[in-house]
Amino acid sequence: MVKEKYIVKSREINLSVTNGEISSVIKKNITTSACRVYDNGRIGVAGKLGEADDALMEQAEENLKLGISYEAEATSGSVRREQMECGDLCVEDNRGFLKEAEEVLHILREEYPQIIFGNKVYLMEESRQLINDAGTNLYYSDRICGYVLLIKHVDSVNVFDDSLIYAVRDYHREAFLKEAREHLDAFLHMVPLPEGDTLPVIINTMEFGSFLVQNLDAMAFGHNTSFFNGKLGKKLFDDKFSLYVDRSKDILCNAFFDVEGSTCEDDKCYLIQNGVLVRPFADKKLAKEFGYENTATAAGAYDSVPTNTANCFAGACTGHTLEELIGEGDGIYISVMSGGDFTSEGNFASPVQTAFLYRGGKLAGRLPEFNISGNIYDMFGKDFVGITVDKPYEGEYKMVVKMKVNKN
Amino acid sequence: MYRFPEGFYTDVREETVHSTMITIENGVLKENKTKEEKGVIIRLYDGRKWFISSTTELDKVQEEIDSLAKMAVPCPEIGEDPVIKKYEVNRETRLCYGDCDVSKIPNDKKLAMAETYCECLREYSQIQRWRMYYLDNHTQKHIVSSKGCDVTFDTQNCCIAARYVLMKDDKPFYGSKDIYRIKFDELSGHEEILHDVVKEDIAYNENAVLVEPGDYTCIFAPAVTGVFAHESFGHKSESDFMVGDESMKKEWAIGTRVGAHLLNIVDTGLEEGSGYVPFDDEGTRAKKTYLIKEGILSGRLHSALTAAALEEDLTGNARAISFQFEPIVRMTATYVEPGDSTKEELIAGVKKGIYILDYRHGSGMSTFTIAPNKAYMIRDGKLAEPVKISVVTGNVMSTLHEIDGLSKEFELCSFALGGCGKMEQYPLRVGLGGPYMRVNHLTVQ
Repeated sequence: MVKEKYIVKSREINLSVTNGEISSVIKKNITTSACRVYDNGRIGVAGKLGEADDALMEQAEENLKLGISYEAEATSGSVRREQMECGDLCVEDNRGFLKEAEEVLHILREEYPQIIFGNKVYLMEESRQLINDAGTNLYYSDRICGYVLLIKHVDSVNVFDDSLIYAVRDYHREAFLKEAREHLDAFLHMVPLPEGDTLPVIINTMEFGSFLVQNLDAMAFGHNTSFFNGKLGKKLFDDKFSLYVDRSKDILCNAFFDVEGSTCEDDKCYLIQNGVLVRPFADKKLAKEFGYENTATAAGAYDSVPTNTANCFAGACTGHTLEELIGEGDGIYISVMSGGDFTSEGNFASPVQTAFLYRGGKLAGRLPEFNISGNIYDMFGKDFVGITVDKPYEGEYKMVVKMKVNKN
Repeated sequence: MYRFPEGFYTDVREETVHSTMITIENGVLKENKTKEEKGVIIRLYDGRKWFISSTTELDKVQEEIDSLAKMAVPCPEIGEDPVIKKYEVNRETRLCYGDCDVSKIPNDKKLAMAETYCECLREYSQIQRWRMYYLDNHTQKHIVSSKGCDVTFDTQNCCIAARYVLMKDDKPFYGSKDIYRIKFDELSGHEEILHDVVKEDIAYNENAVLVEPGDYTCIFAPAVTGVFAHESFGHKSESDFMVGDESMKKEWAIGTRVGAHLLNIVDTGLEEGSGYVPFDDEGTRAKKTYLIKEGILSGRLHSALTAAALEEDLTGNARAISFQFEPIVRMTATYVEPGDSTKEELIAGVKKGIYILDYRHGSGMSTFTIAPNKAYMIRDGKLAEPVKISVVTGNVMSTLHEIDGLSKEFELCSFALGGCGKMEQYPLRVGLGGPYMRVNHLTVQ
């Protein structure tokens, strides 16, 4: 029998923004704890809000009687501690954070009176610890500061027109304002859609990833319900395209271990490498059941039995900055795209609510609404341009893919 | 009970949630958890800002109230603040589910209920993998405020949710069915409903072809009508988007024609189901609000803050997904009222169109979207071949005018999993529904 505790602590200051001003200050201090007992192919789990205690462990042991199968071993002998290097802002100093956010919002209101800002600014601190009597003790903590501002032109009758998203560990006001100004200047300058049926679209790397990850699940492969059935080991996509489970510090608030305590070598595990489908993603149980590699992708609610889950994926950078990937031509930077989906054939279509013309290394103006479409094999095949090595906007790497563009 | 500091408005919302989640995957028990969670959110208002704290340390609520007061600036006239003046002072205990509380049902009975429905799925060789959920929830909330509000109420549901994957030519199809009830005893005996949906999905998956993209007249089934109402117009009725925004106030002035004459859209927390909330999370009593009446903009949804800012009445729509979040303006159960046609009459009036039976998801900004899960061509007034569609879109402002038929048949739908998302708050349980509805000029891709 192995006994284990998994504890997540989060502290947060959330500043609600209404009409460009802070309307509420929200403090959160939430601890969630789970006790797990592994015994003879079964697991007992009990969870509570607050700190784990002996009674919770006893409840977990009692829950072994529920007969929940867990055909894997608890992680043993794994010891590692990672505390991310973060900036000066701290959750305890809510007055200081409030002052900073108020001053920044004041600058934005003064410089952009045509824009109404809403939603929130936040500072979040999170720690995760998994410790068991098989010698495992894993700890990770991180702190991030973020702006998630909804943007609306004063003359617009939309609920909102655009979003300004920014999240970093080490916050510097001027870095945020530089990016915000480029974004907002472009927002206020309408330009026509460039000519051409197919254009390079600049987008978050996992924006089209839902179809990929749904069909790369070991559960889908194991039961022959994946779109990629029979294609393991085959080259399906462009040489430049690689997709991996990313448990590195590149992703904010992303522990190097999953909720089962599994880790990846160098904190990365490739699913698609140079266009070749190399493995599905699998937690311990699925890895054992179907003979796949454990990719450290177990997740779930704090008090749940760990389950294989599509999270923390990333596309591999292809060696160029955004400016280099777009080159002399025009790119289309997608800011707000909602409601699109894939058919079971892998055909994607979506309206694009807000997008910008990217020209000469910067956002040059806002485009009218349009639709984009493409097929999964083309989007990550002949139409795949690359993934940036820089993080030009939103603190994120960006992917460039040629897509069919239809004007409304 | 609490010492509310002078010069502020303060309210405290305490939530006690009992829930069960049982998951059976391909016949193997994967999850069986029953839990009780308690938490508190405290809000303190000084006339300028709200100071809010959520905590699981129930014995430190008074400390938190005092701590928030130190961050704020006292306002001796806080009682005259327009927001505070709006608050209803309800004092009521409405505990409706004491005699059928799902938290009192033994776990083995719940497991047996789930197993009963698993048997249905085992009958179909076309199902490659499946998952069956049993879910229940009994929530009790207690809201007190410095203005004198003191309400205690409960809500409850129990559900069976089937999820399964069918394959054809290496193309997966994801099927689902939720059976949502209030009392545990009402959850048994609905196997035929599940069988019918699985059979329909198998036939669809065997025969569906890619749609020819274009402009179509579409007929929505009740759940799709509901998601259309929710996404295309419901979110625009959430008036927090309108506060301080003169363009929105002008565009969405009460009395403006926004849709076809036959269109009535309602939001209410009074109907039992996944949108039922007898009091909102500020202690305001639920109302029935016409958002659109005969095509005319008739109302919108409010918290106390937005009602005060727009000088309108409270509607009982300040909601939060849990004690960890502040209440914001959200829908409850949103539906289109029925018309006087039959489903068959609506279909008969379409030369070439599409019948959308259910959906995977929807969204709504200036353009609304519906991603259909099952859809069928309509040819010469009759249902024809099943078709696969990525997304159906339309302009919100013009599409409400393109509705030209509503059926007598009506359904208000509740859902076991998922819900509505707004800002960071997802999922919030809501209800959706309406009649079969005919809409012209939608873009189908």
